[in-house]
Amino acid sequence: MNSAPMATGLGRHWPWIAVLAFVAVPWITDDRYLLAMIILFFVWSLVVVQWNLVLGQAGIFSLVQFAIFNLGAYFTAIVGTHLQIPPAISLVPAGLFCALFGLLVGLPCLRLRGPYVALLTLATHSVVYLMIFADTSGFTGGGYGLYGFGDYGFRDMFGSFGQLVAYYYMALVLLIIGCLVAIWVMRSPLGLAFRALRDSEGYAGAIGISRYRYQLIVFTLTSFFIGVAGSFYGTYLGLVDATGFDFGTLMLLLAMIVVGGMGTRWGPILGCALLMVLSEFMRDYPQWRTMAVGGTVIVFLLLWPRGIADALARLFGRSTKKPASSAEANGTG
Amino acid sequence: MAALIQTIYSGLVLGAIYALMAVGLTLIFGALRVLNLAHGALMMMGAYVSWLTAEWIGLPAFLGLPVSFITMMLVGFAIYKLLIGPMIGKPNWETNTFIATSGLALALESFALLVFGPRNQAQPFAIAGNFQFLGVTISYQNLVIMAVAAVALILMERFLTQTRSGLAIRATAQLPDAAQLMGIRQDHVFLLVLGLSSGLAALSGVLLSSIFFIAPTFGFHPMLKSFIICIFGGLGNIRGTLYAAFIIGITEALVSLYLGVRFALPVMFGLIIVVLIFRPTGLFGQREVVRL
Amino acid sequence: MSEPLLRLENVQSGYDDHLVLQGISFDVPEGSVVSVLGPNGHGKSTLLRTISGLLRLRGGSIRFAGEPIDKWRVDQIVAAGLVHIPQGDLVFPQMTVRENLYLGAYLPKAHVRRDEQLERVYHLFPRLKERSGQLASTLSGGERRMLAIGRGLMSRARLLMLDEPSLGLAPLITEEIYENIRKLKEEGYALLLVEENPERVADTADHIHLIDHGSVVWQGSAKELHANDHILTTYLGV
Repeated sequence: MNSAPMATGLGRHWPWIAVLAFVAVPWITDDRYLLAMIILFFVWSLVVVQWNLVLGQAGIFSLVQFAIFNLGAYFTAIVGTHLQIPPAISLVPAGLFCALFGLLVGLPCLRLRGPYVALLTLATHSVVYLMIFADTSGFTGGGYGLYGFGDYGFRDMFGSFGQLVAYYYMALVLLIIGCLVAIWVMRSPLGLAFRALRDSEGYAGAIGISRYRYQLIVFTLTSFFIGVAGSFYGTYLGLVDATGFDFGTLMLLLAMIVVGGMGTRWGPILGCALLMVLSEFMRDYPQWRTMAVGGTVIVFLLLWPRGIADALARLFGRSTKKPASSAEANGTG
Repeated sequence: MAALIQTIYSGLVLGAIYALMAVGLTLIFGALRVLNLAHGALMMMGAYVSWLTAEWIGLPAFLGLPVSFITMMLVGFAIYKLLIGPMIGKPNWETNTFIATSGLALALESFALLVFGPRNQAQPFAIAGNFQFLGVTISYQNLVIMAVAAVALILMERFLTQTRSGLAIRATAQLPDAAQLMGIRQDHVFLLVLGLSSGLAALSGVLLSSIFFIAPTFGFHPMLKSFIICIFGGLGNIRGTLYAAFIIGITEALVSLYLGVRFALPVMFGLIIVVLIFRPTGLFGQREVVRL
Repeated sequence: MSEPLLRLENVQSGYDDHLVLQGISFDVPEGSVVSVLGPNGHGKSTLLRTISGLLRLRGGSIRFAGEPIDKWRVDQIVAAGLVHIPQGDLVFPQMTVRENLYLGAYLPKAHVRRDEQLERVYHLFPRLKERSGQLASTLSGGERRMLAIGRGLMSRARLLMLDEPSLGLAPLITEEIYENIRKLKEEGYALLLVEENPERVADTADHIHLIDHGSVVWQGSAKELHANDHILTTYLGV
């Protein structure tokens, strides 16, 4: 069951065309603001693509991923500040740390049903935030945050503008890797089988791996990449602080996934692009921005409950919907 | 020792407010299977309406409570009609209502920020003064809070068990399809539940802000605590939620006394993790009713 | 000839993209007992859920007491006298027997005659009277079945639809249930019985329809079915 909106002819290769276009951008323009915006888009896209695997592929309604993103940034900032370890070296360890954290969070959470997971993971996010915010020891920087923990050395290598371009390409590479991994997870035989059988009763043993274990694997793997994204972003900004845990951003990212199409390959990125563009549009009216974005999200969800990717796919004659599960079947009417 | 008793007493007062807060949430989940993330924002709005009633309209402060209840109940109706109702039954509705209500919460907070500004306000519905009883300082305000909470909860219990509408709500919460086959109109039940829950949120918002203060974001943490309480008591289980509210209230007071206020949420959180490991549907929750 | 109480014409229905009922047509005349048989998964429950309004009609039409009920809400259909007693009982577990029965008389028209109707149900099912204060979740399988049927009788039903009344019950209890069903027939209720096993309905049904893969493949009287070994083996594996 295909989740690409267009799968024939030129349409098939559009992701690579988009990549080429993105690669070309720094050569065409020197608008720093635009480049910075696109870097942010790459970072958020990476996060939502991975988070989408947890939500749509593994079927876990978890909200802790944004906290994990921040933890990746904090890891790099902390080892950079207290142990003088350069961010380039702590990039992967940050991912590993987050993978471990994800595993520990997943172990109890994945035994729970639907709303309990959502609420528990939301509480986890809040508690991590509170503990950092209340930390007055200087270890995490508490309410003030950490900065000056090093960077990748791009400025020395490439100069001021070149530094930005270097971050740009690094972010793009990370995103591409993240997407390839996500596609691999979704389209692997195990992944397809899991999605098809996930909601059916006689699941256990049917595909040779327990549901719980598969979910744990996906949870841990995505936590790694999200942690790496966080580490990169913290280094890029040069600052980490507790405001990174902002609940509004959490819900915005979630909205990107759902508006775009939870469980689809490209939905989350589409959603990310859409909501970022909208947010930018409202840049000059910060008080109204939240309401405008929130309102738009609500309208989109009312019109296209399965997301834009699904709506587009239907437009081109293909459905992204997963096969009717018994739960859905008995819930209608 | 005196401090301990005082603390437990404070915990009971908190528990009463939390009970009001959490019951509406668990009711919505029980009947609609929706997690209402706008609950905290509704509490906040309720507090502001009460403030407006006294400061702007000039009515006596105690009227803030009923005015707030009725206003927010109407808002609850609107939320159902315009937002949640259109989503239920459509694909992905559980996730979509979750996001939609959180979007609404953020919009309401922005709105409040715009209109009322970020400064804290005092809740006019407050009585000054206290007295001593057995070594415990009891403020009149706390007595009022306990009284209001008690009356509200008792009325609600009566409503749910003795009235036809209450029976309809309980039936819908237990078995939605069977309830419909009895001739119960699901959309009416949902509407009523949203209205009732919003009204209760308003009451708890007024009472909570009378101890602390009113501010645009003041509803977020209480809402988080409400969710923790609901999980503790079992989502959809009203009696369990009531017990849980008092347990959490007292726990929070004790933790605040011995460890400090900032450890309250982490400790509560640690507690529910432990509870959920052994009882995945909450301390008092039952196994989810299987629907045909 | 007057119109039958219930008339289905080419009814199509199903879930999501999946059509279960491919075009079902039959009648339930006033005061008669009609049975729908068929293997599991072939649409029997879907059929009743479509008639009672829990599931939307995708095609065809349904008329009850002369009115087209395709677009009616569930509560409107119940109010008209078409009562669905669902598979697995669906009795409210956290409510007492009495509260369950009261809920059966939820609609205003039924509410006024509630106590009178309650007595009649207790008369039919004395065991429910004994247990009237007990929680429904503490009842035995047979008692729950009686409660479900009793609850259905509390409203002013003209047609009762029972989804597998013998499901999960021991033979002796099943016999008792069917005794009661026969009494209902005598009292003049029209009944639509869905069953998997033809044995049960042989004594009670006036007409039998056989559903296979969402379509009616055979119809006739109980006697005709019994005489037709071919049908019995092919479709019902008996």
